[in-house]
Amino acid sequence: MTQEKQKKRGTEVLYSLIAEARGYDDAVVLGRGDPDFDTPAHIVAAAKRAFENHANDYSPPEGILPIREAIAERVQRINGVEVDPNTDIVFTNGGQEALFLMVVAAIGEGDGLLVPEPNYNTYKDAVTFSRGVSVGMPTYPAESFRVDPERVRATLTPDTKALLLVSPNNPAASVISRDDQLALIALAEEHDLLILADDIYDLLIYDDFTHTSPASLPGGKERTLTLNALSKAYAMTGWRTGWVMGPADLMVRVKALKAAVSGPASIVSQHAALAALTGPQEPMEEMREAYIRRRGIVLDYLDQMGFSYGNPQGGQFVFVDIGHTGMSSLELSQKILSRAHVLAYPGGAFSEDMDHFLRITFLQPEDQLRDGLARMKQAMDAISEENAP
Amino acid sequence: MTEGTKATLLRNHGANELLNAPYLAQVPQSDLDFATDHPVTGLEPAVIESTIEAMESGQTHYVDVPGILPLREAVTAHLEGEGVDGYPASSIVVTASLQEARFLALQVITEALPEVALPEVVHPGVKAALGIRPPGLHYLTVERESGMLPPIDAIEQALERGVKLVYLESPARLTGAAFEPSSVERLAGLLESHDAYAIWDQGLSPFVSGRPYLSLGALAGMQERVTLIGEAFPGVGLEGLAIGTIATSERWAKPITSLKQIMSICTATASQYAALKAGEHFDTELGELLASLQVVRQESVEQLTAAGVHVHPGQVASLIALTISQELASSLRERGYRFADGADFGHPGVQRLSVTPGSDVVEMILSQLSEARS
Repeated sequence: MTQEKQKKRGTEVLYSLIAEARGYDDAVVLGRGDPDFDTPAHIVAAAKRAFENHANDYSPPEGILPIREAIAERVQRINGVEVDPNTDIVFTNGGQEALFLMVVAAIGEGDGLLVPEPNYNTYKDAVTFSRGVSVGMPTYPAESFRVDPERVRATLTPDTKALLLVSPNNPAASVISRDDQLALIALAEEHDLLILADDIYDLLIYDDFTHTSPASLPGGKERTLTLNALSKAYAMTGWRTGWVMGPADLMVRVKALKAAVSGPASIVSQHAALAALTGPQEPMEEMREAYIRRRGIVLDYLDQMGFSYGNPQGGQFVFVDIGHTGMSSLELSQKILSRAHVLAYPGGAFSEDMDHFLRITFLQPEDQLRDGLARMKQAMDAISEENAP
Repeated sequence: MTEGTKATLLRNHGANELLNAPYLAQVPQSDLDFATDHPVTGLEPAVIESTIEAMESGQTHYVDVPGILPLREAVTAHLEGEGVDGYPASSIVVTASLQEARFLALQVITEALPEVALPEVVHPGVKAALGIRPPGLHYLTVERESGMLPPIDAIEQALERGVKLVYLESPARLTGAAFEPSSVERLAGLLESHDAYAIWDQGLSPFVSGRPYLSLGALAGMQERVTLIGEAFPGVGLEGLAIGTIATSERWAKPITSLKQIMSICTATASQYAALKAGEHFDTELGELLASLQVVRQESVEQLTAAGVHVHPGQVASLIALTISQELASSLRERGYRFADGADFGHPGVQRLSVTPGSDVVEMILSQLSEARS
C-alpha cells in the first residue's frame, strides 16, 4: 500500500465509524473533537448584531483589523508573543484551514516535515496535498509521549524543511516542556528549519503543566508559524474561527495562500470571534472546569477497566493503551461500538505505530459520559471473559 | 537565519505569478466601490431571524463536511428550477466562498487531469487557485466581439491536443457575456467526443437578462462531465457570509469532499443556515432586483454609447464592462471610485463596474469624459 493511501485511510476510518455510530439512537460518541457545549450566549448575541449591522461589511482576505487586533492582544497575554496585527496575523476558517495554510506555506514538493507520532492525521493529509513527505518523530507512552529533541535529531533528513510541534498533542495529550521547546528551537536553528506550532489546546492544560509557545522563546519567533482557533476552548466548532500568526515575511505567503484558497472568512464569524476574545471569559472558564471534572471521571473508569494511559497533560482526550487486549485498535473500537454503542477512536487512525491505543474524549455531559463509560466497561468485561484462556 | 529554507521559500513565492494574482473582493469597500460583479444588498430580516433561531437552538457545532443536507437539497432544487437536472444533494458541496469552490474543483480535478485549458481573460481568482500545485496551462484566445469568450474552435483545438479539462466562465466574470445556447450544445458534443471534462462557473447566471441562459450542465449526459461552481444564491445579501457551491458528478464529489475536510472541515454553520433561508425566497427577491438592474443597465449603456464609450457585449444585468482611457480611469480612482481592472483578468484597458441602482457613477464617468474632451 502506498504512503498516500495509508494516510487517507486514517481520516476515512474515522468518518466511517462516525457514520456507523449515527445508526444507533443511544450512541455515546467519545471520539470526535466537538465540545458538547453550545457556543456561549453572548457570542451568539454578537453574531446576531453582526448579521443586522455588518453582514456585508468588507473584509480583506486576512480578516478585519479589529479581529486581528484582538488576536494580537490575546497571544501577547496568553502566549507571550508580540505580533503586529497589520502584518503578522491571518484569520482563517477554523484551525483546520490554519493547519492547511501553514503546511502549504512551508512545505513544497519533496520537502520533509517532521511530524510527532501519534498525530492528528490531517497534518499528513496536508503534507500529501503539498506533495511533501511526512517523517514521524517517535514518542513513547512510557515517557508520556515526550517529544525528545535528541530523537528528533535522529529523524532529520537532508530534505527536512520544517518541524511540527503540537502542544498539547492530539491525540496523546502531552505537553512539550519549555526546556524541550528551547532544545527543539536550537535544533531548528542549527538545521535551518521552520517550526510549525499548533497551540490549539493552549488553554486546556491540567495539573501543574504549563504551555509554552515556541514563538515566545529566543530564536523561535522568526522561524515559527503558529496556529490557534476558538473551536475547542470557546465551543465554536461550527463558526470556523482560527488564525495563523508568524513573522511578517512568511505571513505574506500565508496571506496570498488564504486569498487563493478561500478569501476572507465569513464576516459574521469574524464578529463572533471578536466577541469571544474580547467579551466575558467566565463561560470559557466554566467549560474548562467541567473538562477537569470529566477528565477525572474518564480516568476513574479507565482505572476500573484496567487500562493504562499516558497522563493526559492537556487537551480534551485520553490516549488509552489497549495492548493487553491483543486486538487492533480498529477491531476493539468496532466491538465497543457494536456492543455498547460507544464510539472511541482507534489509535491506528492517528499513527500506524499507535494501533494499540484508543482516543477517548471528554466532550460529553457528565451523565452521558458516565453512561457511555459504564457501557464500555460492561462491553470490555464481556470481551475479556470471551478472550480468557 | 541565513540564506536557506526561508529565503528559498520566499523567493519561490515571489516568482509565482499565478499565486500572486490580485485579490478581488466580493463585497464593496465603500459607497464608491463598484468593483464587484453584482451589487450587494442587505439581508432580509427573516433570514437573520431564522439563522439566529438555529444558532440559539444549538446549531453551533461542526456539520457534515459537504454541508447541511437541507441546503444541499435546496441547491439541487434551485438548479432543477433552472433546467439543470442530475445533480442530487449527494453531489453538492457547500463551500466557504466562491473562491473555495474554484480552488477545490480545480485542485481535485487537475490532480487527475493534469492539463487544463482556460480563457486568457478570466477572473484572477482562477489563476490564484491554480498557483498552488500548478497544472499544465493552455490559455484559450478570446474574442472581443463575443465579450471576451473563447471561441469554441479554440476549445476544440485544445481538446484535440489532448487536454481533458476546460475551465470556463459563462457568464464571463469580466464582461458578463454568456455562451450562446448553440455554442453550449456544440461544446457538450466536443466534451463527449473527446472524453473531456469541464468546470463551469455559472455564478452570474441569475443576472442574465434579455436572452435565455443555457448551462452546460443542463445538457443530456453532461452531469458526468461538468462541475458547476458559483456563489450560493447571489444578490440577496449573502456575499459577506462567504458561501459558495459545487455541483459535480459522483466521480469528483468524494475527492472534493475529502479535500474540503482537510482544508476546513465544513463551512460555517451560520452561513449555511442563512443561505438555506435566503434560498427560499431567492427567485422572488432576485426577480425584483433584476428588474431594477435591467433598467439601470440599459440606460447606462445607452448614455455611455452615445458618449462614444465602448461597452463590451454582455448579457448580465449586474455589471458593465467598458473601455475608457487610462487617464479617465485614474481620474475617477483619484476621486475615490473603484472599478475592477481588466488588467487583473488579463485584458488591460477594460474597466468593469457593478450596476448599482441609485448611484451616480455613470454620470460621473460621463462628466469626467466631457471635461477631458473640452
